[in-house]
Amino acid sequence: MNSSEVLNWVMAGMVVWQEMAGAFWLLGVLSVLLFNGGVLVFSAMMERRLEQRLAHVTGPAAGILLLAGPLPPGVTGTPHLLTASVVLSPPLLGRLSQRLRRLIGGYSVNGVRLLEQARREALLRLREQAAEMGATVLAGVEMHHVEFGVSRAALLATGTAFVAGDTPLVSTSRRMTEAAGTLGLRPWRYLILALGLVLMLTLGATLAGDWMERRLMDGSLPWEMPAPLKAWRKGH
Amino acid sequence: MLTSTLDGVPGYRVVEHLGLVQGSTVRTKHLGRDIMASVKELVGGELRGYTELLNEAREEAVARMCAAAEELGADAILSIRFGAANIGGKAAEILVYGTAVRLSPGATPSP
Repeated sequence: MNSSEVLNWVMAGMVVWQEMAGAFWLLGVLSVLLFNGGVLVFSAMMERRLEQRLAHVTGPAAGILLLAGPLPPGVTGTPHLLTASVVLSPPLLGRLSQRLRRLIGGYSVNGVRLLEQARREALLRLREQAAEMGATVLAGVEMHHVEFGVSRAALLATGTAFVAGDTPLVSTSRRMTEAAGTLGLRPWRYLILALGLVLMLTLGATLAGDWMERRLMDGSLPWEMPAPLKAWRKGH
Repeated sequence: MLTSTLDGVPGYRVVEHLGLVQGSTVRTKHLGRDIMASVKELVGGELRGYTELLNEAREEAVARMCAAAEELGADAILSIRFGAANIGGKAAEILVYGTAVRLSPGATPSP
C-alpha cells in the first residue's frame, strides 16, 4: 500500500465521519452512559452486599465478647493470637463524592462509612476465626489503619482469643457492639449526585454551544478554518 | 509457642523475661494482581489481592517472630503489637514485636 492509497483511505474515513457524525456521536454517548450506568449500579450493589453481610451475622461469631483491654478476673484458658485484615475501595460515586468533599472541606459521610465498613469487616473476620476455634472471648483487640493508596481503607485488626476456659465469659449484648452508631447506606444520595452530574454536564454543554453559536453569528468568531488546517488542505 | 496481645497468661506466671523479639517483612503481589485491583477499584468493594497481601505478610512476620522466640528458648510471646506500613502504594510492610518469656504454672492475677 503506497502513500496515496493510505491518503485515500483516510479521506474516505473523513467522508464517512462527516456523513455519520451524528450516529457516531450518539453511539459514543450511549456507550459511555451504558458503561458508566452499569458501573454505578454494580458498585452500589457491591456496597449493599457488604453492608448486608455486616448487618446479618448470626451464630457463634456474633456472640463473642470483644475487649479492648485485658481479661476480666476469673477467666482462664489458652491464648491464641488472631489477626485479620481487609482492604476496601470506595464505590465509584463514593470516591467522587469524597473528592468533591475535599474541595469544600468538612465531614465526608462516604469516607467515614468506608472506614467503618473496613473496621467492622476486619473485626468480623477476627470473630469468625475465634468462633472456629471455639473461643468466646477476644481480649486485647487492637486496630491499625494502614495507608494503602489514597481513597482506600486498609485495616489490620489483632486480638487474643481464649479457648476452653473454666468460666467462659459470654457476651450479654444481643448484637455486635461494633455495629452501634454506624452510618447506614444512603443510595438515594448517589442518585442525586449522578443526576446532578448529568444535569451540570448537559447545562455546561448547552451553554458552551449557545455561546459559540452567538459568537459565530455576531461575527466575533471567524467562520474560516484555523490557519494550520487551511494550510494542510491547501497543500493537498 | 503461646502468643498473646495481653501482658500475661491465665494460670501461669512469668519466671523469666527474655526480651523483645520481632519479625518483619515487605511483600508485594505480582503485576497481574495489581492490574486486577485497579480494575476492581472502578466499582469499589474489597480488593482481595491486597487483603491477601496483608495476610501473607502478617503470617510471615509472625512466623519470623516465633522463630526468634524459639531460638531464645521462650515458652510464650506476650504483649504482641503490630505495625503496618505501605511502601509505594503496592507493597506492604508488616512489623510485629512482643516480649519473649518463660512461664511456669502458678496462680497470677488474670491479665
